[in-house]
Amino acid sequence: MLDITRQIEASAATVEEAPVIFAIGNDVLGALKVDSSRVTRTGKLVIEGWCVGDVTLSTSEAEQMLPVRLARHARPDVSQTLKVEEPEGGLGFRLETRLQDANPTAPIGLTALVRNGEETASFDFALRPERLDGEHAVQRIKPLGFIESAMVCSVTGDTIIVGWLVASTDTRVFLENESGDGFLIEEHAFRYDRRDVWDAHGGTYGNAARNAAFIARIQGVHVGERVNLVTEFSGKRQILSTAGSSLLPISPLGAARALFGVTVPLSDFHRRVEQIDRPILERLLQIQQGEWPSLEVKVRQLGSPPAAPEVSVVVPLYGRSDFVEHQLLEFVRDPWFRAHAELVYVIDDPALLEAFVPQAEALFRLYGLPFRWVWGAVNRGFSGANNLGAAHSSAPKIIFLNSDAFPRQPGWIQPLLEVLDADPTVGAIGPRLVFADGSIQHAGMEFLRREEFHIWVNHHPWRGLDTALDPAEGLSFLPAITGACLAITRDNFERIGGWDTGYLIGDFEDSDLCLKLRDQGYRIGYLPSVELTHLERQSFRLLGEGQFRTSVVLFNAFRHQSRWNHLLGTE
Amino acid sequence: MSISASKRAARPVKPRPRVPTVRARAEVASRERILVMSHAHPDFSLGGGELAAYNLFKAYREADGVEESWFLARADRGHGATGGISLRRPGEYLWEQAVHDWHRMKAAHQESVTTWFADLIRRLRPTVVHTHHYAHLGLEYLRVIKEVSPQTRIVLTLHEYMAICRHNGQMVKTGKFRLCHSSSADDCAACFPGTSAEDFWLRKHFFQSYFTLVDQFVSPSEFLRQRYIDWGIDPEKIVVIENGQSSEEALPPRALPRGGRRNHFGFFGQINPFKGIDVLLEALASLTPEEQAGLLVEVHGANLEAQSEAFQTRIESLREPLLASGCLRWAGPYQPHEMRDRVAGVDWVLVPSVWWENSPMVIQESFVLGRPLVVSKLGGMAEKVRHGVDGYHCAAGNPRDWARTLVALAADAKAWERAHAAIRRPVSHAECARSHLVLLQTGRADAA
Repeated sequence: MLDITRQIEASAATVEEAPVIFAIGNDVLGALKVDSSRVTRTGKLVIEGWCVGDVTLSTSEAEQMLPVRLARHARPDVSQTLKVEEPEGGLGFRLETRLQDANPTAPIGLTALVRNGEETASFDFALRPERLDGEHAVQRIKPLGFIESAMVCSVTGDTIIVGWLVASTDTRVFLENESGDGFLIEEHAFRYDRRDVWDAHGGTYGNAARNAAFIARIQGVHVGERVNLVTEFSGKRQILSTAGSSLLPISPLGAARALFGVTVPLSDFHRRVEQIDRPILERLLQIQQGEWPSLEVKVRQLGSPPAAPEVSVVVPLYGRSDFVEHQLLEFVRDPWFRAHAELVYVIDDPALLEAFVPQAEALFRLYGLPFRWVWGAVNRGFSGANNLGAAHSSAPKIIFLNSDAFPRQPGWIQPLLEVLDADPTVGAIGPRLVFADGSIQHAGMEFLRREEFHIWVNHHPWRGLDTALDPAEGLSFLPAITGACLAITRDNFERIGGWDTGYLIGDFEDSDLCLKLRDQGYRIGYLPSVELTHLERQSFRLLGEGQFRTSVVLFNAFRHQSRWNHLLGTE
Repeated sequence: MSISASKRAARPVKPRPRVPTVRARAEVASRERILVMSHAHPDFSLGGGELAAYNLFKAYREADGVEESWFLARADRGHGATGGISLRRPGEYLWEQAVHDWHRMKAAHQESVTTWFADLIRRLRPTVVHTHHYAHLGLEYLRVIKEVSPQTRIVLTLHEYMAICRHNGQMVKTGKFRLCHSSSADDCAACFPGTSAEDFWLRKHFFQSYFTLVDQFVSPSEFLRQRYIDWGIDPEKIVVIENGQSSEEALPPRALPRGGRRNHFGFFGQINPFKGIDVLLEALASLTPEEQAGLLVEVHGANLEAQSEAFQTRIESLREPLLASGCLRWAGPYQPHEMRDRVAGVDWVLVPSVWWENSPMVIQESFVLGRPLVVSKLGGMAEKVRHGVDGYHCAAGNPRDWARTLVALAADAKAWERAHAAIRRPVSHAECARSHLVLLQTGRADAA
């Protein structure tokens, strides 16, 4: 006797509106969805969709079985949504046949044979294929689309939607928030090519499947609310995909990590950053930095600095603080330094604070060289820390110095300052820096165009060469110098507004400072007769290590050139 | 505003205007500034090619007619191919470079080839770049040298068959060990089924196009020279100059105990399937106990542990009974400075390699130290050791021939005396440098 509870059942009688589920009781066996069916003028029938499980498809015309050609392809959207693995060939299908009657009046039959071990069941669905005018007409296809993620920036009110859309250009497709505001994809999204979408749909949809991926920036979504991808097609409104939203981190770096986690071809990155990332990240940076003035700054002066110092030496500390003692060893044996320099360490790393405070006291007892430390309550980055140090120092000139830079001989400061004194057109001056092996680390910087990324990069020429091969003999004027050791008058420093804090971690702050000066007509000097050893780990990769780092370098490079395009490449 | 103090040539690299010089033309021509390049620095690795390059660099420094000489070696110091150039010691540079595409020999760090390497050439202004390799460096630097400094002549010393053969430049078939006599797109594709004949055509033309930038090729052996002529280098552009050797004194003959014979044989070098150590052990295994008692073979070799397990097992099973019988001593690896002491304990040096070799360093070193050799009758070995004069040849890979020869030599006191007396002292480093300088001036390789 037949056990009716073991019968295979289909959840619906149509497959064109929503997926049909095949199940025995609560055990789901498979599913089928037809996304589109169409007939050309010559009678070619194409049915496209996806199916899960052991399902065999066939078609019939006026109850006559038709010979079909079936091709499978991947459907990452289905696989992701239903959490089923793509079988070999993929979940998607494209079924092609030729009708006897090019103008069918009766519905076309689609038969799904569902198998469960020995058991089979057959289900017939009626399709009403769309009529196309030409053999290859694909203009008026039904669009496909999918939202992969939606991230809400609670600070700027922006929401970043990531997904893909295959639609002809004359189809209206928009993103919609819960308030019902619509944002047209073509106006609000950065589009780019995605290989997997092309592989799945390019064969059927042709150019409509190009540049299918999108990153859109829309407004009016609250965290947790849903976002719909909506089309209006043949006067009918249809939701192609829907997704809940999550929160974008509010720290600039956290937000950058989340945003840059959505990768696009590097050659397109410049367009995407301008449209999507920069408006958010720059705002987050501004908001974060807007809080700095209200933070409590701790200052501790050890010993008495010279009463009227000629120069403030500002050294930010990040990552390690053991370099400080090595610097003190050099400074303490330098009579000019002791008589005329005011030394300021800026702690820019919360992890260093606890150890550094007592370490500073012990170092002062041992070396007796007066210095000051400043802690600005948070990590402010290279520019922010340098600006804080400048604000907590007083001399008419400032040298910004990295903690891993060590003068090779006493008396290194005076020649640098003399250049500033002698020639008021010199906006900043820097020495030669050498690696531990004595070869050139820094002999000025220049800008190289790297068209493959649409950027200008900062290049250190002559790097690694014997200092005897430095082409600069005596004071020279160059496109830019490093911020690892840079002298400037306080007047000029304040006039240009200090170090720019609009960059994400590292890169370009020093050239930005030099270009600000050059923009106001100052020259940038390089004095090879003064040498410091700079222990910078040699990192030679054009775009840094790893995908995130690469994105950050590009982001910074775009900001840099958007500010200084008129000066870059003019050397 | 104009920033002009260090005007740089536009990139990609272009020749800079030559700095006017007050020196007379003739004098400039006779005073060479030579950058020696190598795929490795002897501070970090001790292959024959890098040692030859480094010793030549030092000899150039001392030579008349050389104004300055520098050394640039590729190095891997654990940071990967950063592209960074750094100063090892005055006049010696390291370049953290690598090859990422061995089919076309392309450099991993492209950016540094047209920036920091170009800077180095710009500033050194060498009249000659004498390079000993492109493995690990990529071929592209040859072009950059000519772009930056068109007047600089490039000398390339070839140490193996890398341009000819994709299989590590050994001209040995992949898979089953078979010697290869010449390359062709079809034959090479047969060795590398994943790579088409068309890709090998592209490879050869890629190499040959780069080789047109080379002004002078040098080969340490006539055998290797001929292989490259067969492959397509103009015979007029490639000469033979043997690698220089140290000027140390020859060793006295091994002191023999009363009634002793010249029956101590030594193997020195790497232990890998190409070096034929298994042939040697099989030869010993084929001897009668009486024959085994009449000779001793010492193996001074390194890197057995780096070989395949199958090869290690084979060597170990061959050597166990021989060690027990006393005809084999396994002396293990040695440092270069220990070579002299180790050679002092043998009468003959053995080179049983089963691949072509070029000019194996051990042959020249043995001659310097006053020891005749027994070598495979193959490639560079058969060229460097004269059969029946300063040594003997055995059929490569033939244990019976090696067995017969070792037994015969151990029994024949006169054979050693004759071969020993016939040894010609190899050229010194200084003589080698002088030969190159003559070559640079005359375009001909003269005997040093």
